[in-house]
Amino acid sequence: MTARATESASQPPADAWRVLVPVAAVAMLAALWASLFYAPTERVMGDVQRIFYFHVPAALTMYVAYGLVFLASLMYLWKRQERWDELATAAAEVGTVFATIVLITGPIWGKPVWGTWWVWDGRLTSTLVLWLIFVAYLMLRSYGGDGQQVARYCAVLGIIGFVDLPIIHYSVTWWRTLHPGAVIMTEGSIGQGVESSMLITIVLGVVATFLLFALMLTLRLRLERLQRRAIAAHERVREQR
Amino acid sequence: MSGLRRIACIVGKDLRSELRTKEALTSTVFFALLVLLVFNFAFDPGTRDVTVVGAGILWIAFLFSSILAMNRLMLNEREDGGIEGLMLCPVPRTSLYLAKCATLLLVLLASETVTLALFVLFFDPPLGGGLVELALVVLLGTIGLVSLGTTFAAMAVRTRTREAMLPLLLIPIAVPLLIAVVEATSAVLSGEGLGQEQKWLQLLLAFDVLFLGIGYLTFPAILEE
Amino acid sequence: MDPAAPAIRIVGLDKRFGYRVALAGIDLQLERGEFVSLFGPNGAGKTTLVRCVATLAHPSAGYVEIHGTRLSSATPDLRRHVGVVSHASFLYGALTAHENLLFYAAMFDVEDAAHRADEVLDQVGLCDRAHDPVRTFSRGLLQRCAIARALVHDPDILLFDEPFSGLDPTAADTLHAILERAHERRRTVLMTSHDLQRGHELADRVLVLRAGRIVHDGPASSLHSGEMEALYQGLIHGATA
Repeated sequence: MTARATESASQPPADAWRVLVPVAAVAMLAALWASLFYAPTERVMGDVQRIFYFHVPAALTMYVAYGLVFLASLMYLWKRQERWDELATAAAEVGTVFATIVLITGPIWGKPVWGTWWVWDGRLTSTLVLWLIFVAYLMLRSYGGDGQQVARYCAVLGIIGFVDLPIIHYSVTWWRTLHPGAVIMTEGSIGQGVESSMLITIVLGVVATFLLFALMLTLRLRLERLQRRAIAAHERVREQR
Repeated sequence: MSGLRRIACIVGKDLRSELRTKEALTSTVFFALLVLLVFNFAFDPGTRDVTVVGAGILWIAFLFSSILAMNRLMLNEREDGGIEGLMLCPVPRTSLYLAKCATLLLVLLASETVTLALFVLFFDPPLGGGLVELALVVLLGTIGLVSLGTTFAAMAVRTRTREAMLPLLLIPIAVPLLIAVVEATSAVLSGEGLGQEQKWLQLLLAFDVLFLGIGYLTFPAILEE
Repeated sequence: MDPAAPAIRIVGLDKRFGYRVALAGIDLQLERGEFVSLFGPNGAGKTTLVRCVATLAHPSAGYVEIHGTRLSSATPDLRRHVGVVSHASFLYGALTAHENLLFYAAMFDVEDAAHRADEVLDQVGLCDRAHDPVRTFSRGLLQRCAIARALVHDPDILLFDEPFSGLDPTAADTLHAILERAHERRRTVLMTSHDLQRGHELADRVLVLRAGRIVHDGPASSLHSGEMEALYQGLIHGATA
């Protein structure tokens, strides 16, 4: 077909994932070992505290992923290039996987420590709302209509969702402080008296999770590109019949 | 004709259309009435302090009935390519956003006035002299809903799920708005007034300005292929 | 507005929907007063081309000029020159034909709008139904009203996308007469059509679009309608067989 269009479409998908597979695997195993054996047992919370070494990195990864969705959405609306929409699609999906991990690991820790699975604390609530926003985003992806339209709509939602984050944060924090009896998890309860081995473990966890994220993102991106090209090829064949 | 006059012209056309069919207005008011009725049975506020649950009941009625109105007004515009007709007119696309917001705001304020009157009639909250404050909260809250609703309804009516998509998009994003309006309305309904609750008004104001701005800037991208 | 510039100038226009190419490198000029018929099979890109000129779609690359000024979001006033008839009527069902036209007349700053509305309704033969809600109209009546809507601001460029589809024979004759008159009054017309004979008869120049490219561009007078048919069949089916 056209020279310009085939050029952009026939670009080989990135092969970075081949390198990332062993690297991420080694890092994950190292992080797992460190969190279970290297890090000391926390005095008050006991072994359950070890879930932090995955909970906190997953939360950081979630913010990175959704930040990427925001940037890719802005770039798509500005440049209208397919690849930004592909990036937004992949980052939103992988980010939601990590958001789900955060929402699952949190209560597993919360039950023995707080004595309840869930509290409507500021941070928990805003994470849940964030997760809901991006589940809606993924639904819009699925039902939004033809590829071009859905790309524009999702870009707008990606921007609105991200801008909403700080407002959600303030509103739920103020809301909770008005209602006495809330259990507030402060920075201090994690940050105080951290041993260096704990710190090393958490850094290792962050590195491993970021590598895993990079791997999942490149694979998802590759899949998205192949899928879109397959759909386009299918349409061309149908038109020529 | 100036830009503002053209926006008024579009709003006039929309309102004329609406007043002829009354689809959005009647369905919105009737739905809000049903919500009040259901919550009356669910919570039995007669035996409880209306100041505790009243604000929640009122805003659930406003929120769900507004979703109905947003879908209704946008579907009218979608019928036989209506909004593309506006896109052919010599008006910037951003003005179309303002026009749609203005129509929705007027329709919602009309239906909310009726809902509010019914609410006061049914539940008799100790309003005191807080009617002006209540009106301010309702106005700011409604502007926020309208700023998001116009954007999301314009998207939703073109998706495969149609109307079903709108609440899924709107409600999570509107969480801060809902918290703020419920807190502020509670304060007014309990007769305390907004003296202690300035920060909710500030949050509402920030929310309105921010999302009106984003809606204004992104509306052309929603319309134009 | 540059008086020497062509009415429509399309330069290097690409329109892609994701990886699907709808238009590829369209270069086209329509001089003032020229009547151009655009033929092509379904999916060739006819409607997309009209939508790009009408500012309903945004080009992926290249640009469109109207009277020497490039179309962009900053030039809404250029739309005053253009009247569009499309598959959709762009009319409001709850309003009467007359009210619809009054609304569009006001949007385009037409002087003495009421008189102008009556005038165009008369042209399309809708006077007796002028005060009925558009919702009650049949497909043919709706299309007539849509034509009146496109003419209400007396545009000097007419973009007609399949205007004859859905019209009963009388209405088709009315439209034929309107198009002939527009041609006599040196309006620039770009019309897409399935009806080779009618399209050829009205036009100064015929274009054939296939898979997003212009595959034929020549004066209508050099062919008679039988030759047009043979040429078209050869271009569309000869090439794919």
